Amino acid sequence: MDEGISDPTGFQAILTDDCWQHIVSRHPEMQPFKPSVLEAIGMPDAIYLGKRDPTRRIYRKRHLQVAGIGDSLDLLVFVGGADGYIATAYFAAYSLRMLGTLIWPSS
Amino acid sequence: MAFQLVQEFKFDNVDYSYDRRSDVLDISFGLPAPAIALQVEDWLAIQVRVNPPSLQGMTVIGFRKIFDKINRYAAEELPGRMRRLATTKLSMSYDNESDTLVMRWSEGASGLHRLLQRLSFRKKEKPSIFEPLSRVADAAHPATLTDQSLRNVYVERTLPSKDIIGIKILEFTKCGPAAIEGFLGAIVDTLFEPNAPHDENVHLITNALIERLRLDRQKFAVLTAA
Repeated sequence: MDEGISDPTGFQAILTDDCWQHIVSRHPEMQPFKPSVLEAIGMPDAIYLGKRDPTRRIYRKRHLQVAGIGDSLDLLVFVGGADGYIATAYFAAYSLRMLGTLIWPSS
Repeated sequence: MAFQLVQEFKFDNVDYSYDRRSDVLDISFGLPAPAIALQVEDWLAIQVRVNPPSLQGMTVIGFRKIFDKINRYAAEELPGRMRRLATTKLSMSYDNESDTLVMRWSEGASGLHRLLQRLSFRKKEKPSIFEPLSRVADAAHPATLTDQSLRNVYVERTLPSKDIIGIKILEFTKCGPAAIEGFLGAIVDTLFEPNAPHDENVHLITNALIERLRLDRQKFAVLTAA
């Protein structure tokens, strides 16, 4: 079943079963974190437009502790700006360079 | 100096999955396993396995969107590219006394060539030299932040052909993370901003990468200039 969720800017993102299966098949650590992925869209710490691909929206949500994975990690969720479909999601320890243009929060 | 082999990566067990709908390419060295990402830029992440810590793979977000403009058959040619990657070997050695890390890569021979190499019973070591990776700053071209992070990074090139076969990082304990960050950043900048002021060696490494992936440099230049 597809799940839709609005971000703080009103943009509607969609998580399909197929996409979720693909995410967990390649990133098995994500299995228990489907609600966290949806939460990262609905209540992110920041939203960016991709640096090299500005049509891509990137949601970042800080997690101080992720059981079995590590501490102080960012959950990154990548969404197609044109169709709203969630493309992938995973935990990142560090971003070497800017993800892109910060569009939310605007300040 | 006594270099100890720290880690050796063989990519012969490379596994990949390309999801056309989301345009995401996931490459793993071995079966997918729990990992944490080191995000290089918005389109590229290096995945590090949680337990035991080791290189797990990489994720390319927007693979077709980026690479189709360079080579329209990029997605179709993935199996061939992965087979080529499977012949690559990367070794990392560290010398405690000099606090130096050396990374070397090689592409294995295939078929008859490999058989002949095995039959020769000897390992050929080509002579090599090290050259600084960053350009030399002067009054007209002062050092950038990237140049500063690359000041301890040297490129190993064979003689006489001058093929790039490795990287050396001095003062690794102190400068290693910044040097790796600068190194990856310089490659990405050279890919997307070919006119960025980097040393010839950065361009050569990027070109070597493009050649290994069998991309078209001219098309990439047109794309990135657009």
